[in-house]
Amino acid sequence: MIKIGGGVVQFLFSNNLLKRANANLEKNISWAVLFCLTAVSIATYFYFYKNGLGLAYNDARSHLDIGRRVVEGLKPGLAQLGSVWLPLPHIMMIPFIWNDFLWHSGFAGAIVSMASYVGTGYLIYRFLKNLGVGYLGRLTGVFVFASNLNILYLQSTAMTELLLLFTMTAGVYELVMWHVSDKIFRLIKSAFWIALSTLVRYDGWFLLLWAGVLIVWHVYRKKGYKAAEGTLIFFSTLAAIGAALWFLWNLAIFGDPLYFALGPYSAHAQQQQLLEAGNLATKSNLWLSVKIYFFALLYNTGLLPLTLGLVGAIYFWVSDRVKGSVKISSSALMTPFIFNILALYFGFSVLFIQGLSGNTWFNVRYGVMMVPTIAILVGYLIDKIKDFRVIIIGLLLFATFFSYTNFDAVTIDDARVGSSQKNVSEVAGWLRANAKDKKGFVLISAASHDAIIFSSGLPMKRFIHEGTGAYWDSATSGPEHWARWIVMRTYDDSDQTYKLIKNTVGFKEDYALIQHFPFADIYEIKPQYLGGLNYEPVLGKQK
Amino acid sequence: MKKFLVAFFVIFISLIFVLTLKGNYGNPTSSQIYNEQKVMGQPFELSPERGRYALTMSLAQDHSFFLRQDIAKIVTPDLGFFSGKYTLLVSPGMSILGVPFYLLGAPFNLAQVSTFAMPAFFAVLNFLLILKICQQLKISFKASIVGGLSYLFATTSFAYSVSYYQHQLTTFLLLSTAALLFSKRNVIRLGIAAFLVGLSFWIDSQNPIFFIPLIFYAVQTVIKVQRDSRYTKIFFQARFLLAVLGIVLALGAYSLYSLTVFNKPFQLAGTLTSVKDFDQNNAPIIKTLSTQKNTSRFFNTRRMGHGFATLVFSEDRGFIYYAPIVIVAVLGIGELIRRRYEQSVALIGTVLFIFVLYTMWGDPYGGWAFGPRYLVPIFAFAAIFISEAVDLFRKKIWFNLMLFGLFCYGASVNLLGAITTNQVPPQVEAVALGMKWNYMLNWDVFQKGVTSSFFYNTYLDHLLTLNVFYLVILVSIIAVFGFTLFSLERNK
Repeated sequence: MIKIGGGVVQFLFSNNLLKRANANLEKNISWAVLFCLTAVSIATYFYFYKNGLGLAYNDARSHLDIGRRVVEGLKPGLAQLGSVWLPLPHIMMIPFIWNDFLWHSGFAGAIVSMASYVGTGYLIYRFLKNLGVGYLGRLTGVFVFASNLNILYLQSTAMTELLLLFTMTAGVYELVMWHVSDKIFRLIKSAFWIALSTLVRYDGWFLLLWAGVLIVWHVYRKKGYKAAEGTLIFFSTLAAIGAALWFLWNLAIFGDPLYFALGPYSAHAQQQQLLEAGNLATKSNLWLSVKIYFFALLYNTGLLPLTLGLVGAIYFWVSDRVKGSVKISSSALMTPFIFNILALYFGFSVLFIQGLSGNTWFNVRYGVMMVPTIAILVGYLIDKIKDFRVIIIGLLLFATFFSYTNFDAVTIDDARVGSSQKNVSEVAGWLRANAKDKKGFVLISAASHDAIIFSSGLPMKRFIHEGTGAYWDSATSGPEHWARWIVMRTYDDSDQTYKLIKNTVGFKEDYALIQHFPFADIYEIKPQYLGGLNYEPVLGKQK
Repeated sequence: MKKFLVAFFVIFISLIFVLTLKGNYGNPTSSQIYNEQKVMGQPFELSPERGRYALTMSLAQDHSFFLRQDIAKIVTPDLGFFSGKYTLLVSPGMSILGVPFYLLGAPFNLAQVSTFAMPAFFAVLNFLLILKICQQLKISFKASIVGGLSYLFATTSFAYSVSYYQHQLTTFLLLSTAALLFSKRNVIRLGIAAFLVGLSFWIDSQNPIFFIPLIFYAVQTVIKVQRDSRYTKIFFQARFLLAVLGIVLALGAYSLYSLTVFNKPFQLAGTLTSVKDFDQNNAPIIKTLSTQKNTSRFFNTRRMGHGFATLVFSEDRGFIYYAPIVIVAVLGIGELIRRRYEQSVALIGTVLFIFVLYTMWGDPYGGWAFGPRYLVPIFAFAAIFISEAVDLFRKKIWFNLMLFGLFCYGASVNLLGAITTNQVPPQVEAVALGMKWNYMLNWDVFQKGVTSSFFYNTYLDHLLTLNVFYLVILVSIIAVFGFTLFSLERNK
């Protein structure tokens, strides 16, 4: 009710009404958060789809191709999931990837990221609520995460970061809830999410180990060694199943359980090349590893949220109102930070920061892994600082606004101009213009040129690559019977196609170099040999 | 007694400013400025003071916001181009306020000196405002004097009090708004405060952002909440709504100015077409589109870390090097928050807004400048917390000695800047030019006997050496500060 009288403007609210409103708010705010996150997610996807940035990362195109190969190609099937990347993101694409539009628009992969974005935002809300944080703190925490331009960009792509963030945050959330309640169902849920995270990226494996230690510590203190051992085995049965299956998969498909770690397409093999080229400066250099990851974190989260998050962490750790078990279990939120530094230090990972590692970016997106943690800590801080909260929120809005006007997303730079991008448009464009409407297969290494395969717009079944079994074997020993076109980096043995066909008589005599591009060359079979080519997938179904 | 002491300090401070004011005798013409006074150590050594003074000249002589070509030449590279006419790329408020000072000095051949005295005038007012706010916050009179002197002489505020820069004016608007809001509320005071917020836009287009915490404080104090068993009542005096007229008036006037001059209600000067220089035929060389300023690009969030490090730690612009006394303010924050929670939140909020904004600023160095010039308003607010710290630790000898030492260091450094040059390149440029990038450059200039002081160059050059001149001023400042600081306990 509004009253104006005696020069005073009054707004009168019945306390009952306020109570009811508060109850309604409590009941419906979760839906409102979910609705807002979904709306932002969809709008941002369309924005990045329209401007073409959604597919700027080469890795995004490769992920989409892996998913596509499972359902379409010369040798479709689950084995196409391969070993280069962990399989969950590609498995989740399968329901959508069969559709050409969903494949080439990137939506088949982005929808997984988008759902993960909504889920992670909501988990941050729930996390803060369970820490006893009020509405403003909870919403600020969600805002810090959801408005981060790097997060918004990655959720609009077929990259794996958002799915990893979601599964890890869910795992940690349930782990903390288990520490609070000791309800076994919470532990099962935590194990489930952590198991999924181990199938997204190896960051999840580190979380699995960390969670194991936390569980042992928690139960040992309360119930002793036997109970701790039992609980750990119980937890690991589900939580470690993803990792165990991955070893099994590698054994079944590639004949070596460590193929993913030591195989020719493994990160280890790539890192070895970088090491030989002198580009793995962080290896055995702890200070540089910390510095590089800190800057990745800084550029991905922004100075203001990061600073506020650090202050929030201090408040959190010194607070008497937060139980010791919650504090200890929440340390799992820090695992991405520790894991990434260790990965850099041991040379398992590579990350370039412009200005620190020459004039380029590479894998700087790894810094987003701490954004949910920072968001939770900022939300917690907002709850604690009472009257300063409006100022801090004002500053956050201010900095966020200008990050948008500046288009300040380091991940976009990484995708567009960093080492993560390769300009494949010339090669792909040539294929689209000259091969799409003609018969014949293209021999190409997917490990080296997946982005070309994607960008060419040709169906997957037009390509003979490493995953096509007998087609690949036949085409690399006698290309003149199978490949009308060959796309490869000439004189580069790291390109499997070149390595295998360079000495074949067919390649030497029957092909002509048609186009030479900085990124790859295109060869075409000479017209007089066209008659000897196979134009149909005559080898049939393969095992 | 208090009034007498205030008068004494005002006279003393004014005297110091008279001695250190940058300038030359005479009413310089545009060609004199262009040919003789653009060099290091001269009053027009840098484009900020040249630009603002040029507009003041134009307003005083031609009654026009557009500059004659001969005046326009001295303004580059801060020259704007609109409809075939030249104008300034920065907000016009400072230049407009400088007109009375210009007209006052012109008959005595002191147009430049009197115009340059305007920031000093506002610096003195800022000192008084610090005393006023300290009084409102129940900080002792003498502690507030210590805070005020620290602000004026031991920070880069000093160098920007004696040259034609906008920082003292911005600080004045912020401090006077705070003082008005901390006073007993009435609609007139709130209206004036709102007017000052709007006026700040005339001085620098980003200024209103700094007032957000103070505006929030004002709203918070006007709106009351009462709860009883049945109702929750939120109410405010309707007359306070009239205060909004203040900001409407100031921004309306700006809109009118902009409409008249640029045919647009809110033309930001910084976004006009920019003239880099003039060619041999006196034709303007327009900056290429890629180097033109874009409003949204004024702030660069990616550079915040760099801006932070520059303004705090860097040798060329870090306040740690130029005004370490400001760190003492940290010691007063806790106590002031405890005693005056809401006011402290408003003051700290203002500091944070200014600081965060300038960490995002595309050029946190402030171009070629002496120290962190953008932080001058922060130093004024820090002075209030320094005063609180003085009250809190007045019995601690370690504190008094530390404060005194930091003051001596700050005053030595900043007096050096005030009487030599603001033309100090940032390290990134200095290295390439083979120059020094901090007050060691001022020291070199000083050692060569070059000073920008009008008083010394006009009246004392033949009577005493620059070293003696410097020492006399420094010792006077330190003596007055020391006397105030160490007599505190006795007078408490």
